[in-house]
Amino acid sequence: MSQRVAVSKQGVDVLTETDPNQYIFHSDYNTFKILREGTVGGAVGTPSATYEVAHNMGIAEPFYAFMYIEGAALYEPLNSVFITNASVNGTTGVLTTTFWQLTAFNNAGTLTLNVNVPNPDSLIIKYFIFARP
Amino acid sequence: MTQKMNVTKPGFDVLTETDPDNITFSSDYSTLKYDVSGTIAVNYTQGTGGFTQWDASVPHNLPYKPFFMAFVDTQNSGTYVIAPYRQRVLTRLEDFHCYADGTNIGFTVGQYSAGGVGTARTAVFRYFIFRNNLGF
Repeated sequence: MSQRVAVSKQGVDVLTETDPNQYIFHSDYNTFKILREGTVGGAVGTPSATYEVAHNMGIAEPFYAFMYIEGAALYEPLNSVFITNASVNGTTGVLTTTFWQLTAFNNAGTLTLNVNVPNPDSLIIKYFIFARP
Repeated sequence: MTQKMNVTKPGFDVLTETDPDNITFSSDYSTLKYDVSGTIAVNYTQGTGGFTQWDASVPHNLPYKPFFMAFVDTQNSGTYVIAPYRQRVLTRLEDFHCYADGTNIGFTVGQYSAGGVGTARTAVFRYFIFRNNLGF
């Protein structure tokens, strides 16, 4: 008989339940482990800012990040577009927008975080590097 | 000697394994701790001309700014993509966007279109809020 470690939700029989959504933890299912997390940021000016986090993990692990914009008192997930101004040229019909956006890419050695900055402000970026399941 | 709790994948020695990819759980590594999930609909009009934005929000009920993720079904069709999501079709640019502050998780549909009839649509955001404090 295989041995395992499992913790089910309240009211759910840990010995018989087969739905993984009814478990808090189950050793048959890998967890999404946070290998590394941290913050970068500070005062920024237009048009952009770049931060490099040297992790030297030897492989491009999955990652995620959030960006807190102090002037707006809100935070955005990775790739989100926060439009601060939008206008349409009445003659050409061309839309012009100014926006905040955090993008990122990761390789075996460095997580690079790029920010499109529409106006000077101060920001904090919280990043996470996860283990591959 | 530091004490820890580890569970490895089948076939890997829990006493010697050091690669986190072969460890199902380890007290050395934090995880995303799930809080609540739900859905919220944002009704918008597709192709009205100019730039328009529609908003909705849900309270996260946590005393700090939490980690969250969202997926969006842009036309209530049963197909989800990860938010934020941007799509461009001919004369229309649409953003399905999410953000948060100390109180709420916010969801926005932003649209620019060169004009059109204006078709009523519903975007359904499915959100997941975790207990992990971002520390902002």
